[in-house]
Amino acid sequence: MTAVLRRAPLLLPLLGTVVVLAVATDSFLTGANIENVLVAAAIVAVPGLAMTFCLAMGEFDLSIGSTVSLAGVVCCSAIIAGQPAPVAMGIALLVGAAIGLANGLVITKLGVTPFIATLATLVIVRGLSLAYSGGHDQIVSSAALKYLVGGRPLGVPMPIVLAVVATAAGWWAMNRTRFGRWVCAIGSNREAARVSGLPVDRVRIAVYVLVGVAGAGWGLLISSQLQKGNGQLGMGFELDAITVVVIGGTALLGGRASIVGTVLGAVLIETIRNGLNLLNTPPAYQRISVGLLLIAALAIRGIRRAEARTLPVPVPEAAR
Amino acid sequence: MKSRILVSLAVAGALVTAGCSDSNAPSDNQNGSDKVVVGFSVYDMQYEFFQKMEKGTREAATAKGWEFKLHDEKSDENEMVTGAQALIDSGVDVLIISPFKPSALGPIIAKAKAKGVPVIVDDIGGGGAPYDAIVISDNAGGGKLAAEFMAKQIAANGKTGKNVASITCEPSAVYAARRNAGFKAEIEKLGFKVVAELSGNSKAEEGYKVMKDILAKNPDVTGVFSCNDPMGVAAANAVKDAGKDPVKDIVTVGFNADPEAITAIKANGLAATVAQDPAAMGALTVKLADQALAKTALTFDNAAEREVYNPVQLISKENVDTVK
Amino acid sequence: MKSSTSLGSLWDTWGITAILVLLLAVAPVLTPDFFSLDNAQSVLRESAYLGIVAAGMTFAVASGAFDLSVGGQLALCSVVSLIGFAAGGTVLAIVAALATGLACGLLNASLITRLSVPPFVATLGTLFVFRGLSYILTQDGPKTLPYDQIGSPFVKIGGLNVAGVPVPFVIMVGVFAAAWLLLRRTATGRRVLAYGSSPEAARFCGISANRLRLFVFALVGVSVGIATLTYITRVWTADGSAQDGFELKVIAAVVLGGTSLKGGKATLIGTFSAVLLISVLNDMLVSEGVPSAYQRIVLGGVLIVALTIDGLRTRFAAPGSLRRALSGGRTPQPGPAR
Repeated sequence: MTAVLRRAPLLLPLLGTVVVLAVATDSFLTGANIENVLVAAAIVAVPGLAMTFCLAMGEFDLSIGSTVSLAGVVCCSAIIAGQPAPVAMGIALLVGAAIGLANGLVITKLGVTPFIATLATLVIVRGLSLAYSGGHDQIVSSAALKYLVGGRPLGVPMPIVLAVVATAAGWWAMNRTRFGRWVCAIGSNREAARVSGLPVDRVRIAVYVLVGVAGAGWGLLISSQLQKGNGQLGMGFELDAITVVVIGGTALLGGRASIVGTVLGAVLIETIRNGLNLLNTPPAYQRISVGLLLIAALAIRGIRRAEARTLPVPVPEAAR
Repeated sequence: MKSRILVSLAVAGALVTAGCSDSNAPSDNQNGSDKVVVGFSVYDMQYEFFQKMEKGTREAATAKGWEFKLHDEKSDENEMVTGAQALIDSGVDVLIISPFKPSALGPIIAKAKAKGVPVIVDDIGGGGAPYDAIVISDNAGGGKLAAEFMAKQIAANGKTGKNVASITCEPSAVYAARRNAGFKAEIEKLGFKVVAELSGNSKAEEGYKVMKDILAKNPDVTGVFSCNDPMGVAAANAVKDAGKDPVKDIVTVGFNADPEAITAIKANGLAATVAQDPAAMGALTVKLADQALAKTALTFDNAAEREVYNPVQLISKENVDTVK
Repeated sequence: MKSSTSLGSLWDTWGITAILVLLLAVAPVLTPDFFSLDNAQSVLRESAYLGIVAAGMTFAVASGAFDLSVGGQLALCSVVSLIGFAAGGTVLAIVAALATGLACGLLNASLITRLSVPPFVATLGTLFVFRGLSYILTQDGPKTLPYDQIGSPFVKIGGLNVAGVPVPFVIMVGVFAAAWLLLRRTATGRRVLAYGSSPEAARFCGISANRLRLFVFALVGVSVGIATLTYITRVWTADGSAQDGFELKVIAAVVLGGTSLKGGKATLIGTFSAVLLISVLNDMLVSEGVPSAYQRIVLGGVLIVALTIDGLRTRFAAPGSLRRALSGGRTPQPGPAR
């Protein structure tokens, strides 16, 4: 039991939240609501998993919210232009990959700090999305697109299926492949990784492409829910994606990643959000609760680490 | 080291002094040219509502032979104050503004007063500042229309449940909140109960999620009102995804009559919306601006607040084809 | 080699200033009204609050951290300041803004030092908390400066000029001068840089990490408090949503100015010029009537170009060649990223 908790420290607060909500509301533990929470968690977990690789490398991608918007706009306007939905979705994913590639190239070849490079693409891609959509909603009515959130293979909602597959793939890639080891090695010490001959730049570009594709996938899921794309969707999503990763225990400094933690982080955040809505909490208090949760989750870990510390080990720096 | 700071200051100084040397030039065209210049500071051109408002204002102004200058506040109160004041500096004869933050109108109107420029506010709110006139949609009245329609439609659906829900905009949008308040007051008068009142922060994505949560907690709701159309249509999508019908099972009503709402109503994907007519509001502000420039007395619907109402209208399947 | 390094260090401090001067040189060609008194004043006035916070943030970034909560701090300081103004006029409004800023900074600092929460997460959390508190304080509608108080000295801070120079800009220059002295002329400033370049080495030299972080985050809080004075007296209103996304604008200005996100390197002159550069560019785009979708694309592009120059510069200065730099060669020189 303690071994499980050490590997997934979020289980405890998650169970606590579930117990509190089960007592405080009569609708939390209904099948419909649990499915509701898991679907919402699955949708943020997919980009969260990609972002886990990025953070494990000690880097960020802030542009993901804008990718969500542009992917939705591209997909929906392609459908409107008469493309079959699968083709439109494919184009949108390619656009996501292109944004990721652009990020990766600017960062590795031009040497721009990831924070700023992706902040700039955040602004640029948002502008492209607004310009490409002409500021109009791109409204569709596509059963194929709807299948992304509405489909139920074997009775399981499609987003959950996608998230389970993505989690399995992410766990395998992170823990069982050379790629995952390289990502963590770059995160622990990029120069050491470079000197020992790892293809550092290629790995970094690959990770940004991965985040770009996942961001586009996120956009497709949102557009599938709303049956539209426009320039305003996905605002602020970058912090949502980074938050689930950070809560999940991936070190901001890089070098250490927890795939399972990211998934649990997504479930925890969505559980709390759902619970606050079930309790009819006014929005001001909802914000404060989310903020306090973030601090609490990391404070508990910080204190535990401080207790375990015997030597003056440096405390990890903030986001570099 | 010290010299670095000095040079930096010198650069800034150069900027200022360069400004001073030109200081005789500006505000010539204020009275110099006989062509009227109207400045329009718009809330955010990202939104279709304001694109239409801009079109209505521009067309009415050019029809009068006026020169039209546009400024986009981009949903930022700092940009709103800076840009609107810059319009006044550039010598406009009259300012029309749809303010991102009505309570930030004060400094703009103070500057306008100093230069003798009339200010007509278009929608959102006046923030208690001494503007010349404000054109507004009747937000509370629109909420009331939505409630009346919803009650009728629920009865027509043969439903007896008395529980309904209300989705609000972001907490700072106090004027949009009047729609939910007007809705709530009327629907409760009609014997219903608002069992959930939650914020979707004006965003479609959040409106969808909030509606899912409402459905999980209160599967028996028979209607939902949303204070804007992006959230209204998103809520209708959530209703559909839960296997219910947004017209026949859970009467879903939005606000604004955005194109996506019109499309949805035609396809039975939304029960109704409350139409504001931003283009007509824009044209009305130009008419008021003209009167203010001619120094003729303005007529108000509510003289105490210098308000001129632009009517709202309920759009449902019955009359959706009359919307262009 | 020698010349390229010195050129490099010159660029570190003056690069953005050079670009700013270039932009100012072409500004009158592109925007004839640019140097009109009104417009120049407007450019200087509107960016002061951003600049003042960026001065404080430069210290945080130089120490290897950053503060994501500044947007929430600005909202809370503004709301509290307006409440103070309603209760006790100019003096209370000013005191309330500064005290709130300091309190916010101290809260951040104690979360980071006492609870060992990484600064990124601590300040992301307090961003939500500060905004939430501001919303709670403005549940009956946004707080505003009443129009009939237009003659009050507090209201005049934002709009007043001294010899043609806007007061907010004067305050910003004062803050930068003080910050420059603090960074370059005091032991504390050197400690911030030392800690930023190597926390471990700094610790072995006897620099207390906790005291240093307390200082840095309190400084950011105070800078937000001062910025509030120039912000709220221009905009006159605040609630929980005031200046959404402010944190990224501030950090972008600091990094654009040439302060390294790695920590250990800071240039206040660069930050100063970067703030003005963004303001000038924004003014030109707006007065040229560029549609806002394209304004975004241009602003983002400028960020990339400026940072690309910086990135390439670092590579050229390294013992490598152009070919290697462009092929992303594996130079053992630490890249600028991270």
